[in-house]
Amino acid sequence: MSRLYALAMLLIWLAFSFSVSAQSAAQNTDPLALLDKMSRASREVDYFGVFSYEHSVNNQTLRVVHVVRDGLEFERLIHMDGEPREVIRKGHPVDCVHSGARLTRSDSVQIRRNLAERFGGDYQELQSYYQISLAGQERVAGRLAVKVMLRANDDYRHSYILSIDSNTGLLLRSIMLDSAGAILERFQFSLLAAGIPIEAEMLQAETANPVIVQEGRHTDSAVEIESQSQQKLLVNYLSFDWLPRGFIKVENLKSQGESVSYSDGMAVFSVYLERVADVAGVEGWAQQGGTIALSRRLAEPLNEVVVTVVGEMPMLSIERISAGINLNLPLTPVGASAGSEESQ
Amino acid sequence: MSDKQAESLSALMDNEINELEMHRLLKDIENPELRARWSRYNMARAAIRNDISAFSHIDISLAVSEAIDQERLSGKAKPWVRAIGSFAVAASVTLAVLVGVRVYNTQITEPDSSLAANESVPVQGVELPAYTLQQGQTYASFSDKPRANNIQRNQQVVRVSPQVSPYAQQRLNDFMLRHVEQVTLNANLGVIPYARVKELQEVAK
Repeated sequence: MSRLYALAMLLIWLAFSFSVSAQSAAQNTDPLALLDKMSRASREVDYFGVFSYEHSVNNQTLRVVHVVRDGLEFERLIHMDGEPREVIRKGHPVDCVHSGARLTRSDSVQIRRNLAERFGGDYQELQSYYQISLAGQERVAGRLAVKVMLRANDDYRHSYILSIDSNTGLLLRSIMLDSAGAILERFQFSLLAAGIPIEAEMLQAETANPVIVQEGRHTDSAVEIESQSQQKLLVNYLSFDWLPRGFIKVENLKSQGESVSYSDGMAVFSVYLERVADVAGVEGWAQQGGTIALSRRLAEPLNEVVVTVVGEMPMLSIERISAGINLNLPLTPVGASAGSEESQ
Repeated sequence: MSDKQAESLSALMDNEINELEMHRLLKDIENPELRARWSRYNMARAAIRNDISAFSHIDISLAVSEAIDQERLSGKAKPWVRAIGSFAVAASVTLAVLVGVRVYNTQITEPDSSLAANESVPVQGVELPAYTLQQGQTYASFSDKPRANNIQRNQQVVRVSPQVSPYAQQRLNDFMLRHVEQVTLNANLGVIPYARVKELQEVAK
């Protein structure tokens, strides 16, 4: 009898382990499932490691510790070269997933459609603006990784080659390419430890003046939206003649000021609006790796308003977005309305 | 027009001019006497070689340089229009190439890369996307050798538009820094957005 029982247990165990491995194998052969896994892992998994980030002639190495404690993300980034620097990101609830981050998750499509309806923007499936395919396996940082290619279907976004850890789903290497196939930036882990306990002392700051980022404080509560419209912020009158397809509007943050941001799941662009007292010499653009920022003044009579578009996108997109920005202010000159508000 | 210039002109015809003389000559290129002599020399040479044409006496150089100046001016006036216009051309070329690629490159295997650490063992039967250059050249895959190892050729870490003021550059940097938080929360790229921060902070200093 006990022998039969043991056999039954063995069979159940075998069936179970087979189904688990089949499931994980299925996950690793479906690029969308891998992107979903990656999207969760980057926030939910505890890990530490060493990685390099390079673009143009620049190459730097950083150490990272990432944990989730009491449902909140905590991360330390320590620069290994040059002046000691440390960035501490903390406080963002791991279950608070912003709209852009949802685009790479295979949650129900309906959730994303609803988000697009709520926040505006052009909802489309990730696969309609990237060609997503698997490109075999490779070894990165001593771990087995699955390679996923996201090739842009148009010239308005960059392409990516992602190497995703087959075990944890963490991103081990990422290469960003322009439409000519040239590498814009490369990120790669050289050492990664995941799924092992992380000691409390590893969470202590080790440099004198770490930059602490209290992340993701939202402004989209009903009260704040109301007070925003009362203040007649510029951003409430913003409209675009053109947006690259697939980009949806994402949640606003306190840190961002008068701005809106859009994401297609891989790239994000932000538009910042300001009235600038000293507009002379304010226009221009700068590029770092795959990120471009471009400032321009609006036409008369709004020429003291400067719009800045920042994103990990080709100049083509940044220019087109910037050129198509309108402020449909109901009042006549901005200066006059600002003045009257101040005098009241 | 001096004898010295005539000598230089003659040396230029014979392809024996030195750099210094060449510069002096170019500085004086508007001089009508000099231009007339240059034209005569060329006509004489053409006649000797028996390839003279009925239009040899017409000087189009001024018209050409004027046309080039015009082009520069109109280009300056509307950078947005120009950018979109040049995109339209590039896009049409790219489209044509992509169509071509769909037909021809249905069976491409990844080429071996000299950067060993960069590439995995090619997996049989995996079709890699063809990639295009705007000029119309076709790359077999993302990992094409001559380009993939060549991380953007510009030597600067942060590239800025010509004649950008330090004031504008400072502002652009600040916005890039501010943007990082939105990237972290809306693209699932883990630590990458903050890895970009270091240089921005350095420039901002």
